[in-house]
Amino acid sequence: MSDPLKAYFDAGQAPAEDTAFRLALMERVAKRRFQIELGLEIVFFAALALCLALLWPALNATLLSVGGSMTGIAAMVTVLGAIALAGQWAATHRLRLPLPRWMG
Amino acid sequence: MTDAALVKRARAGSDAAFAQLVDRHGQAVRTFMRRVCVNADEADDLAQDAFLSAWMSLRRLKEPDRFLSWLMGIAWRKAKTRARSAARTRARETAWQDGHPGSTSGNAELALALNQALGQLSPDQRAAVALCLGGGWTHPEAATALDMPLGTLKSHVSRGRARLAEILGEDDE
Repeated sequence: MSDPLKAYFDAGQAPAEDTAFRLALMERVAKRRFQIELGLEIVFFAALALCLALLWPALNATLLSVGGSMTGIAAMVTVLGAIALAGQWAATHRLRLPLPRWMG
Repeated sequence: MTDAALVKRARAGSDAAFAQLVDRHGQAVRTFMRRVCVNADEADDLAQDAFLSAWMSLRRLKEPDRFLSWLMGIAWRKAKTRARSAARTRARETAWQDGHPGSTSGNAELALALNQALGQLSPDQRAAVALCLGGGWTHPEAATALDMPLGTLKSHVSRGRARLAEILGEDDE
């Protein structure tokens, strides 16, 4: 390549290191991560609430029919406990972004 | 650490690894964008968009060791999309000629002439010239990154080189 052309292309080069560029970009990455995580958590908790709402009449009926039976109470505690644990897990574990392939 | 290793860590959620990829390839992407876009600010904006898209779709990258080529492809598609909307206003083209960084360095007249020559090339030709003549990429590498047939890319580079040589008053190689 001729020197004037090389000089022209060299002059248009971006700086090799640019902290401002990197910081601005990583800030956008963090913002996007927050938006995605928030969106996923909203969906997750909405689904959890829906599950509870749908299950509640059945659980209530079961509780009434079994009365003080230990088996019925144990079953209810297990179901509600599982739902509570799922909620607790979602609230305390950060999602590992970038997104999995099927969501990307 | 290799690109593939950094990609693997970034996929697992490491922002530090992705920041290293940004440090490693930021200059190449920004320089490429500056050569194909209207001005340096818009080029940097597009480069950031490209990195952000890359971060979002890291898991779709099939060959992590070819991260830069894949990233350049993303950047190029973004630049083309932006160029299509920019083409609706001729003012943008004027801005590119006025605002390109090369216009203020070295031999100003020559740089301006080269700016104008590049500005007259089609976006595809400009991208091919920017990568192969400006960035030193091989034809196959550039063809892969720009998603162009190899013959088409060679043709773009050849025409671009001829145009620039004409501006410089040289014989084409």
